[in-house]
Amino acid sequence: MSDSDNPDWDEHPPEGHTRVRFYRFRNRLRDKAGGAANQSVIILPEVIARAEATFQRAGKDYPKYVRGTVEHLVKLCADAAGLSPDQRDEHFRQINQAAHEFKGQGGTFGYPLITTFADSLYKFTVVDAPHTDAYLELVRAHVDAIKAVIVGQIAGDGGETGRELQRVLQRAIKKYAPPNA
Amino acid sequence: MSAVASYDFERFAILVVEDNGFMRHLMTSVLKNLGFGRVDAASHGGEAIDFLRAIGKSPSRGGLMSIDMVVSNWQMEPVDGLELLRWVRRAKDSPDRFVPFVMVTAFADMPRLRQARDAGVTEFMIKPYSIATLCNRVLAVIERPRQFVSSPKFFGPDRRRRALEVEGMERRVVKDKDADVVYDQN
Repeated sequence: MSDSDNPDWDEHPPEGHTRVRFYRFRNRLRDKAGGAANQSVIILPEVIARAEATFQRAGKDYPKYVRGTVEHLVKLCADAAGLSPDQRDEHFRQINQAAHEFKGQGGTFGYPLITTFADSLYKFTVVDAPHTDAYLELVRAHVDAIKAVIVGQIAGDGGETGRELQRVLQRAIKKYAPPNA
Repeated sequence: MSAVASYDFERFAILVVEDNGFMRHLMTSVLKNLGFGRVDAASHGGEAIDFLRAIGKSPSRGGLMSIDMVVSNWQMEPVDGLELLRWVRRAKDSPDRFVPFVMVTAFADMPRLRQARDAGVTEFMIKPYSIATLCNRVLAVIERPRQFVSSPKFFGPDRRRRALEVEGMERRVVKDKDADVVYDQN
């Protein structure tokens, strides 16, 4: 191993050496994948189509897969309702984590409404969010909206049903969230 | 005019790190369908570190000499994707501090993205994502690798993807004459 390969070198370079180093390596990955620098290389459309089909199949299973998580969210809301605001930290933390997951998953599997609702739920349950009864109602409204999408398997924008779910949620936000939220 | 060829990922080994079983299975299946020859999976950063450490100690472990790319979720417990990335780039027992690292995350805010960039991330993939996005990120890793920069405060792919004019004084080392430049000869 040369001096320059030593991880300590970065923190404590030998005297007279610069403290910045650029590493420029040959593109081994492109070599490995069979791509030459002067050649146009693509992923074949049929290969992409095969991967896309896997994605589509997973999308069909998605509502079934997340039903348990939705029921868990419903239970967290019910349990939190029986507690005082200062005892709801863990409930809000778990709801926030689930919202983060839903936010990433929904749109991936063709349920963008889940991503929309989960993104809003995530913002209302961040660490410094209040845990008051009003906020809990707000959380419950989001969970109800997510559940409706999952149970109804409302893909895409959901048409009129999707718009109605958005309206209901907006009414809840207007009612329970502070004006600047 | 040059001919168009297709990539062959058969000799590639990828490590997928994802705590959600459904997503982990999906990502693994999709990568295999894209032709990647070997796709291993870990359910959180700690498990990934154990796996990578084992490869470092015994490079022929299970017929696997090295990992060509890590695709990791960010939010995981007990060890998240950011901690895993820091370990990969900084730990003495990391088997390859230069390995491309794709961070998959629903965190799309700039402070978080900067945090991962400063820890040495190669590419981001923001959730929700599509197959097209996944292919783009994989191709970015393969076709547009950046030089690695090592300084007292940073180790990772060059954070400057484009040469832009800087307002005010340039505080960064940007010229080869001010740095050591390391090339591999293999």
